[in-house]
Amino acid sequence: MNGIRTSLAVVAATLVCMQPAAAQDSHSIGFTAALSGDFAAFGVNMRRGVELAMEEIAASGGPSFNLVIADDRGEAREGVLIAQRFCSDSSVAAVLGYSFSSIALAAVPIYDQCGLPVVGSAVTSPDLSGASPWFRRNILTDAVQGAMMGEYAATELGLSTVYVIHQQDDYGIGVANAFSAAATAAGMEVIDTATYLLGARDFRTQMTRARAARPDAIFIGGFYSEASKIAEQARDLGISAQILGTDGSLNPELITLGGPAVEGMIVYGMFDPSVATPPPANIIHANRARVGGYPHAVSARGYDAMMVTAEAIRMAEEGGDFTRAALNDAFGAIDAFPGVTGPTTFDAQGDRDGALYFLRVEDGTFTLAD
Amino acid sequence: MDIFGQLLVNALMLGAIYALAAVAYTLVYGVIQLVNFAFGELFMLGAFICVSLMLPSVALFGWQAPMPALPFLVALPLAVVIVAGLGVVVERLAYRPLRNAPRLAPLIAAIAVSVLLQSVAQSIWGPEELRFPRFALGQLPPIVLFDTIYIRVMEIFVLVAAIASMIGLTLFVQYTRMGRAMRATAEDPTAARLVGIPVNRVIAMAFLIGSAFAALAGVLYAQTYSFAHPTMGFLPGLKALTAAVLGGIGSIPGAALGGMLLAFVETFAAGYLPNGAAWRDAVGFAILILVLAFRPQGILGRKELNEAPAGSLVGEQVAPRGLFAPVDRFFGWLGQGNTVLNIALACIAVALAFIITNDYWLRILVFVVTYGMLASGLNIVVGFTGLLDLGFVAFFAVGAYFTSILFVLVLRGRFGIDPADIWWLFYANLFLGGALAALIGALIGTPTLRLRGDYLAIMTLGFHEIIRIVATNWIDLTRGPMGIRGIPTPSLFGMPLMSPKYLYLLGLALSILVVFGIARLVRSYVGRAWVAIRENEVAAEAMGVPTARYKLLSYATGGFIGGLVGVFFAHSQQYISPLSFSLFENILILMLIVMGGLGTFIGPFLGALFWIVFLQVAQGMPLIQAHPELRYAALGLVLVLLMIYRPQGLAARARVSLMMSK
Repeated sequence: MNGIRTSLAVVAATLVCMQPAAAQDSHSIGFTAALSGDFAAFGVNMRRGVELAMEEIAASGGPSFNLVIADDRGEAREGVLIAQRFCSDSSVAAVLGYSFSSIALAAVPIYDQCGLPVVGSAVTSPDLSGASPWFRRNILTDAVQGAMMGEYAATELGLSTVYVIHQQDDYGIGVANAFSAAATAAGMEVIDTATYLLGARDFRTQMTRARAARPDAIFIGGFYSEASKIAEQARDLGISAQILGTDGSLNPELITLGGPAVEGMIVYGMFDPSVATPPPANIIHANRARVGGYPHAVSARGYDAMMVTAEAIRMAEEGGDFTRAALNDAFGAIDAFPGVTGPTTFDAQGDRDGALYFLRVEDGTFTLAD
Repeated sequence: MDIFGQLLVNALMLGAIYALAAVAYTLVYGVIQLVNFAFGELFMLGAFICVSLMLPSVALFGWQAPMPALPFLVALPLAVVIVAGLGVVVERLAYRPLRNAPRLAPLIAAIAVSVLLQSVAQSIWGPEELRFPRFALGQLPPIVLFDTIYIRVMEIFVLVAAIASMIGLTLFVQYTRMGRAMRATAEDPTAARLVGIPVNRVIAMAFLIGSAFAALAGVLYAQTYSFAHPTMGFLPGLKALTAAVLGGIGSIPGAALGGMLLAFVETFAAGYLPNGAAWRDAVGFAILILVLAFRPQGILGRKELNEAPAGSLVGEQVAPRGLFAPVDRFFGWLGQGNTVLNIALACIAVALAFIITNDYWLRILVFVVTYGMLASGLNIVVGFTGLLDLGFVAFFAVGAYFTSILFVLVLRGRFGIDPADIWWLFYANLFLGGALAALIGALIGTPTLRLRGDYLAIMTLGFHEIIRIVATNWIDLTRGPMGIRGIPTPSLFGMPLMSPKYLYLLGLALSILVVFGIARLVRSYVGRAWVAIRENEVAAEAMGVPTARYKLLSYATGGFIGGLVGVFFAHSQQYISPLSFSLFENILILMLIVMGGLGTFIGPFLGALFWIVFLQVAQGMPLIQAHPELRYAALGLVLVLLMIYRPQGLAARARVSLMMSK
């Protein structure tokens, strides 16, 4: 929505940067995600985070970067062409973004071939762990996150039965399986597991079944737009069970869309706008000044990805000749670089460790759950 | 039993919305035999406009605009009227100029309008969902029956609104002058015009009412699920179309019945089958296929509607004139089978691999030949045989999954065989995958033999959806949405053909084989039989052409090519997932052959070249960098213009002439 104004400003800035005089020593950063079509919201928010980071770097006297945008529209075909486009553009130093694991997986062989480092910020498939020495991500994988939630629900919340519903894709299957395994191990009973295809809006049938099963909790392994509807339809059907969500639901839009139905829902994530350590304050102020409201978790990861990339570029340039390979080594050498989602270090698999926060929706905002 | 009552209520709710939107399709189809794909987007616009009118302010193009904050019962009719007007404008600008064009041109224009409206909506309202505002009527506590059935007051409103508007429309069509004129136009447009009925006005009226119904359905849907989003219309639009076909397209009571039936089948399948929700769409389409197999005209449809539609699918040949004249003359020579010209073209295509050094452009060419071949396969079915197929991607998927499962999951996963040792199997798989897809093509073709025109399109689309849903849900076989990775690149005696250059050359070699094969087949008696079926199936049958056999042969041949391309695609990508075989791909491939020219050999490749290069070049433009969603808006606009100025496709003159000229 408000991204349009942001992007106009940034494109104006980019156009200025593209003047030949400045182009000599400024790197381009490729950014690709689904920016139109069904799941555009994730990509647009991620892009905003990257742009906020670029502006902050420039404002504090750092280098300026050109941002090259490519919309994959959620189509694998476009994803492959975009990867090749970035590979062939020698000014592109690194690629950020990616909304879909399937598209990242389709693009990985191409990045492998041309040797271009990538930092994904929204793709969680376990298949991407160690998929390529060039691919990294600053989001935790499904397996780790789901398991932590399962244990939390059983031990901390003391829930004993749960109805699991998840979206039928790599993300939903990943978190739901990990959640169920950990919950069962901790003594919880998974009464039933239902799935839905991405983009579904009618969950009354599943919720009618859930109601008949009388669970203590409903676990939703999916994104905020579907989760808000599941919660609302569950409440409309008179279900009062505790609703649990994932980091896919940690988004201010969950509360806008779900309203009173998501009150009390518990989710987890790496970014916590309610914790006012200095780095989050930066992005919160910038985001509020630009578009109003709290930044989305995916914006925060986009922001951190850009910050880490700038740091890696600085390290690679210090080391002498700047090449994509040198930059890739620099990414590997990043050690606990502070960011709004916590410190970033990439392991040999390209994955990242991080702390999870559990958050509860209270009076229309996310607050730390204890 | 404790869920039965609630499922009943849920199904009624959904059925009312499907039925309303189905009326939109059925009304317009009844009058001008056009499946107006853009109704899905008018449905979405109805929702957005109503929501916007009900809010005190809304962000439009990123700026907060003040809005009147109207109550629901005022905003609803206002939104319906605005969208109805918009529907008439769309008809006037995009469809009326195509009144006498070949039959597929308006269909493609409708898809283009739908793509355009969706992109524009994202520009206006942004990519996030807009919450449906809370209003008094929607906030009333639910009515609880027997402790287990929860009914919201708005749900009763939805049902009442649906029934009232259906009855109103039926009375209108039965008893008013305009209604009679509409029925007369539906019966015979030419005769209607002769007796003084203003046909254009009648058609505009059909669009007006149809769009109003789509908008009403959109508002009620948005209210029920409390959101509006730019892409919200696609799936309900498709369901409504399915419902309209199920009930018998052209029949208003049929639309109501079809909508209800579909909603009941989906809801109860989801409620009672194990993990039914993931399969609900597949079950819906399975019912559609069953009904059409036994009753090709739908439940309440009139039998005549399933007859071959008047007018050739490909239209009259164009005379070289105006702007296109030099192009036309060139394609004219090509179409006559000029050997020198064909060899020269092939040589240029090969030379490109060595002239172009940029890997990005070579990768674009890999996609051009892949989609060109795929479209060539569909061209056999649509362009030569005249069977409207919207499920072709299913064959593509079968080929791709066949080879991926064999190489990765079975040979490497189960038996630990190194793909490098069996590099030759890729080449064998091109044929095996093709043969498997051909077999499936003939199997799928059998129940469709009695179907004509748009009924056929919807049924094939149903087959595709079933195959896609199986690929997504049968995780043990296909790894589902996770996809299969690590598919070996094609190699030749140990030399991997991994770079875009080699992939392009390999794809080109396959393309030349495919085109040569199709050309031999089309110029034989088989091709003549196909073209006879395309031009007039009844006459062909009467002249002794065994139409059933040739139709199946056409499906099988098209399927073979689809499967072969699937194998090539899987190995050149090294990764496949259901994402590559989405429903939109079917529409895309159909667009490629209509753009390029139906019934030509070069057309599919030309269409693919145009489409892919346009999208890639647009990606770099400053305006698109700022507003990525406008790329598809631009594409939609170009497509509508292309259909208006060139409905026969770019290479129309290259059409293979197998008919005697008049």
